Amino acid sequence: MTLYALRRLAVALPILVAVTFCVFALVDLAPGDPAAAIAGENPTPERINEIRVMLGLDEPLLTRYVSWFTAAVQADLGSSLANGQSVTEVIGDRLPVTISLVFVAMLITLVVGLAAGMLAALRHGRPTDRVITALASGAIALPPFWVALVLVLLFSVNLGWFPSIGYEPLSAGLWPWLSHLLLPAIALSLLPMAEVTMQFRQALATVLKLDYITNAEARGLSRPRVLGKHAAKNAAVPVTTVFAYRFAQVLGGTVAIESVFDLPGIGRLAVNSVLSRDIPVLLGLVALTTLIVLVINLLVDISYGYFNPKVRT
Amino acid sequence: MSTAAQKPAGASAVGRGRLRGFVRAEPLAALSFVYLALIVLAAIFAPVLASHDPNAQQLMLRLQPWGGDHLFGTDDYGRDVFSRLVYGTRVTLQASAVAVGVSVLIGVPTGLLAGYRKGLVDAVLSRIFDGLMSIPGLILALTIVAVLGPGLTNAMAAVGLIFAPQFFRVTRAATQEVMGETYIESSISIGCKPTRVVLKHVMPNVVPAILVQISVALGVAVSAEASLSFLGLGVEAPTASWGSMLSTSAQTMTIAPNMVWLPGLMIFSVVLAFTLLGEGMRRALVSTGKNNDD
Amino acid sequence: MLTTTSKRRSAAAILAGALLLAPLAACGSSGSDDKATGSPSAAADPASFDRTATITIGTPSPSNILDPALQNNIGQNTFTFLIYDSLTQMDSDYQVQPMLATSWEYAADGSSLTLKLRDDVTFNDGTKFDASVVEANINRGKTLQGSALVAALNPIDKVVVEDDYTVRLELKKGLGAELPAVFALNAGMMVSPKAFTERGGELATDPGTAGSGPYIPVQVTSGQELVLERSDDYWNDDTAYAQKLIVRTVVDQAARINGVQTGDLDVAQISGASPVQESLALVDRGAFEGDLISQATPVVLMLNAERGDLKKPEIRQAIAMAVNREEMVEGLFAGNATAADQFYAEGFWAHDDDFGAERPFDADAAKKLVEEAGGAEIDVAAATGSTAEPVAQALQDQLGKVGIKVNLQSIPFAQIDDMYRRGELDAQVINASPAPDPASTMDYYVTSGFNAARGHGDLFGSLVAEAADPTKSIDERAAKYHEIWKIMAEKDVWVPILWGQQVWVRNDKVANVPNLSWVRSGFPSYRDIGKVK
Repeated sequence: MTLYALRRLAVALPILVAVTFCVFALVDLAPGDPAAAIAGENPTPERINEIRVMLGLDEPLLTRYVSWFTAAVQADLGSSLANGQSVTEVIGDRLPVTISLVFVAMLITLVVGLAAGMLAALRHGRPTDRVITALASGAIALPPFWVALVLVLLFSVNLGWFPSIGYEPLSAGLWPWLSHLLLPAIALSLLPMAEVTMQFRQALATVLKLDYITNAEARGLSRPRVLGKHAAKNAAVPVTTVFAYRFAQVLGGTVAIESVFDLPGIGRLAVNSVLSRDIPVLLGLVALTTLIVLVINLLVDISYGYFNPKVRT
Repeated sequence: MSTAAQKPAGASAVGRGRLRGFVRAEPLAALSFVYLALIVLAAIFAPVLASHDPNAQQLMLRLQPWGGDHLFGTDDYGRDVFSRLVYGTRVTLQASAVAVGVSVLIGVPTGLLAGYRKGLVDAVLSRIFDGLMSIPGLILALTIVAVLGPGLTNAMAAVGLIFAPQFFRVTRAATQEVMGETYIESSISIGCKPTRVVLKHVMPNVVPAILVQISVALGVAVSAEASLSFLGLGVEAPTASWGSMLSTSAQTMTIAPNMVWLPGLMIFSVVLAFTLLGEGMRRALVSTGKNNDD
Repeated sequence: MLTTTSKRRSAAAILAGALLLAPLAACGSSGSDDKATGSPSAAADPASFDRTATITIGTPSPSNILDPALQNNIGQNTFTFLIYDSLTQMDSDYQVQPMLATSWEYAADGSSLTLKLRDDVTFNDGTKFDASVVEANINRGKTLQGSALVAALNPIDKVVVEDDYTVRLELKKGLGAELPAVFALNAGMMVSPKAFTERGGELATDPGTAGSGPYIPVQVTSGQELVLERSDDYWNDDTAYAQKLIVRTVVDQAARINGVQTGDLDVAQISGASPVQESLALVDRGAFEGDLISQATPVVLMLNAERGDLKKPEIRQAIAMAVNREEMVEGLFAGNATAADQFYAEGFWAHDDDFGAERPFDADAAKKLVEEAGGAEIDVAAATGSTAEPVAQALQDQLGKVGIKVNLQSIPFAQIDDMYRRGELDAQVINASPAPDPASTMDYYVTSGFNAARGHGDLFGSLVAEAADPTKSIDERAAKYHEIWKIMAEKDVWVPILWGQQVWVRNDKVANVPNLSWVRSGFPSYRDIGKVK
């Protein structure tokens, strides 16, 4: 088990290096001069040059990448071109917001998705199943940012139930925290929720037809116990896969959602960094989000081992 | 693959009988197909359908309500909303085709190779695609936009890159499944060339799974285009896409609510149709009950 | 209810420089002609303000470098105005007024500028403000690595401390007329020398008590939020009415509108054609209140006469004649704008009340010019997501109607101005920020920087230097600038298009917005904002 995890980790590292290097090189191709962008209004050419040297922009690509990566491993991602603040700090300031958002979204995804999926599987082929399936298909088709626009109009502006913008940390209390996150999290969770519903419904339905389940029921075990003991465990694998795969998308989806709700998270930071060409921040974001997703995938891979001992080879 | 009752539309039926079977077994998917065909036709015949030049401004007639000379009213530059929706169909479909095209081109050949050769090739390719899957797509698209400047093609190619692993996985799984069949083993053992084996025996069996995936991916691509253009990082002005039509609509929710609803409805209905079609095809064409996501 | 501060055509007899403050019973989405009725109301009596209030302000300004010497964007002043006092200040109508300097005077030959300083000011860290502080700040601005003030302070040759509260600035020959106005922005903001010698590197993100201003930042979340508390012993009692200010960066216009509707924000600035129209409609419905304020910042089409078809004078003339300002103002902006014939808005001393040099709209004549020149094609750039972008889109259509093919370029904020300055763009629609003194504007937009005059040879002769001569009276200087604006219009050096209006949407408690210093720039000093009890 540990060996298996270590092997997966050994694979994850080169991926991280490859991804960050590609982005680093890509950024290097960009037209425009980041030094000029931060030199202020009406800069002199000497001043631009001075900044370029200050930023180390005059060295070759590989040298810069190696020094960036070595520093990055020690949690030093350089400093923002916008105001000289350390990138680790800039991202660190905003990470809790996005983590909270993704956490609430994924929680909604799991709770609602699993419940709906189970209900549909138990009522397979009946009206309840059809309604749930139809709703799930519909949810997949709704663009999250559009849902966000509609939700904010209905529940914040018209009904006044939730704040329309901003974020409160958990330390300010559970409700202030949750009330700022609920609408954006719902918008973000619709798509993965629908997929979890469909996957779980299908996996459960398949498992429920298998012999050993029927046997177990014949042995007099109650249906809920059978579900809990056998079916759910088997159905967990495809659901976990969907969950892991969608995680990267949900993280990416925060880009549009955070703009609508003006949440100060890393998605909005990414958009701002694009507009201000704050390359160190953008690089840091790509590295960090890739790392987070890799870690999640690693955990999911390991969980496969738990659900299905066969893969531990 | 969910119920035994849907099995008859399987591989044995051919030609018209098969089509009729599909329509009967999957009415929603068939309906979606018709709807999408109409949408594609609308895109092709946009110049005939549109009542106005989609980019012609009438600044003195901006934000007109429904009806009259302008069926769906006018936008914030006095452009005809109906005509922009029609032309937007083109842009949206083209952009989605770029994304899905890129992912098919990258994912399918590599998937075939990995499924056919197995071993080290398979392991290496699988890891690379795992890595691709770890990049949050929109953030990569943003980085590409930051580097190459706003423009739909660049951004959608980036989105396509992110979809590629799904095509790789589906193709690889389907290929592996076919490779397990005895007739393949025998044709290899009698000395058929690998390329011939792949083209003659493997491809036909893999195509249905890929078609399903294409349909689903097209839906997601339509949604992705909308997100990028919504952020102002997709299609360039004045070209209309459904996403770009939505991008400023939040600023005029009170004075022009139709600017929020109409493009949203188009995106919703087309993505829904692609999804339903994909699901229907999956049930009808992919005969095994195995999970393609492996 | 909506109050308006504007120069609408209905208000015919407004004295130059005066503000029109008038409540509106109702405001339609298109321009109705009698909006301005009744008595002033937005300018509430400070006695009625709640001195314990907290006011949350939404601003689009995306960054907040809080060290005046490092600010790289004029919008950042909206944050630093609250923390630091400056030598002078702008009133709500772009007139220079005293602040830390009580008076200023040029030597008869223009070789120096002498400032008399307040003697009752102490920095929030306890440092006493005097002439040596001014000297240290100016020297820092001129020499600090990465300083953004080098160009602004360039006219100053040397700072001489005459006594504790008198400082003489020796000027380079013929330069320095703009200094009193320049000192109203970040170049005149005074930082405690103790703070910048002990922890200069931190000031950008954590200024703390480094200023002598009425507010002290207690929490800085870079790029997101600045929380400020009133300083208890500020030298001026007639400001800083609120106990606490929260200045929040909310980039998205719709999010700012929503924020005021839900009460997450008390007041927010809304700009751009559609958002302003939307806000006015919501004011109509009673969703919130608003102050309509005419901007002094013109939307201008900059033309690079060194590139492509723009080298041809007749094409530039055709462009200037093809711009249909009325359609832009009444259509695109739904009446919430004023057509611009020159760079400075009415009410400012460099504005020419009898201009008449602008090209009138004449599509047929423009079309003929383009046909004779055998057609034309230009690229027009605008910053992604800016309020200039809709104008660029409308221009594409208007110029297209006379046969000029326009390719739009949407370029991120961070790159676009720099690209234009380096001469890499044909044309750019900008939301210009006229400097408080036209001498700085000439430097920034015309003779260098954006360099509008590039490709035109010697347009102005000695006019630019004469107009910036500190020994001349304001009237004499104004006459010279009027000549410059005329030359620029006649040679189609640039095309001023319109001055937009902004709405400060707010709840019914927030007051005093129209009186805020520098408010017509869109990035005011919020120190005078108040909340009625």
